[in-house]
Amino acid sequence: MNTEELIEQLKGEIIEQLNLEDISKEEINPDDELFGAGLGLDSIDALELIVLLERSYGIKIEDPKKGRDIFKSLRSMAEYIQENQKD
Amino acid sequence: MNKKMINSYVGITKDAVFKDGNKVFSFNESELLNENLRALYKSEDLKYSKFYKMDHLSRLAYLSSELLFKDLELSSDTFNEMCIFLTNSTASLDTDSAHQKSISSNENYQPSPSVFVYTLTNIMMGEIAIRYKIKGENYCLIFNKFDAEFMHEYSDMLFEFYGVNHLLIGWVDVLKNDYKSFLAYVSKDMNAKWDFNSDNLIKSYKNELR
Repeated sequence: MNTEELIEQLKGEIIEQLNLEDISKEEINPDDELFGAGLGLDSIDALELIVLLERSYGIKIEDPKKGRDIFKSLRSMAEYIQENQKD
Repeated sequence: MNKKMINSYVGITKDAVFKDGNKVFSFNESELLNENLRALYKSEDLKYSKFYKMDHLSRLAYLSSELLFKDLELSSDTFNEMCIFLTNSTASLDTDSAHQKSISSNENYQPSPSVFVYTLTNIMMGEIAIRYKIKGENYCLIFNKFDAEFMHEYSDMLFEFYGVNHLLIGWVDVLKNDYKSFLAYVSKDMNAKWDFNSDNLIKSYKNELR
């Protein structure tokens, strides 16, 4: 799966996992910030994203400080998954 | 003792929504709670994306507060001073059960932070407080059934001894598909419609006050 395909998959997973029922896949720009001005996610959403990475992709974030960079945008999240997912 | 008045009240039952005793929205009785609350949210044309993240209890409380406050035009000072006093019979058991289910087996251990965070009734009151920037104290007490006498006496104490001037009082209860919400705004505004007493609390809870 290439980065763009993974981003599309993540959009669906995030909408479902974070209950973003009023947002469609098309409205999410992969380069927008996930937190703050972009999608406006909060600290509970951050925990859900950590759980999502572990549950769906088998990736455990060992260093919480890395979270800020990993969850900067959908693209950074997809790239982190591609770099760290074990086959 | 100063007189207190019920300015307005809202009731949400399994089949309809009432405001000041008048039916303002009908639910499809065959639909589940979640679908009915979504239908009400859309019907009111609300734009509060946090709604979708809330559990059933908070959604019910939040929607009740939107309906209650929407025509009252209360000032930010009023909300600043408002106290929240809610009651129910099942606390946060509806969401507690969902969380318990997610951690009940080692093989399928899948706790969700967004579910766990709602395993307290405080969160229901917090959601309303955040929405309206209510900064007074808040309480949620658990009873077997709606206890108008206690609620009235306790509220009187809040007004008389703790300097409360504005009170959001009610009953918000959810367990599976069994639910009922009743919220009233009580103040010392003598122009309000109904005396605040236990008889009128019961009547408004039963949506009979007009």
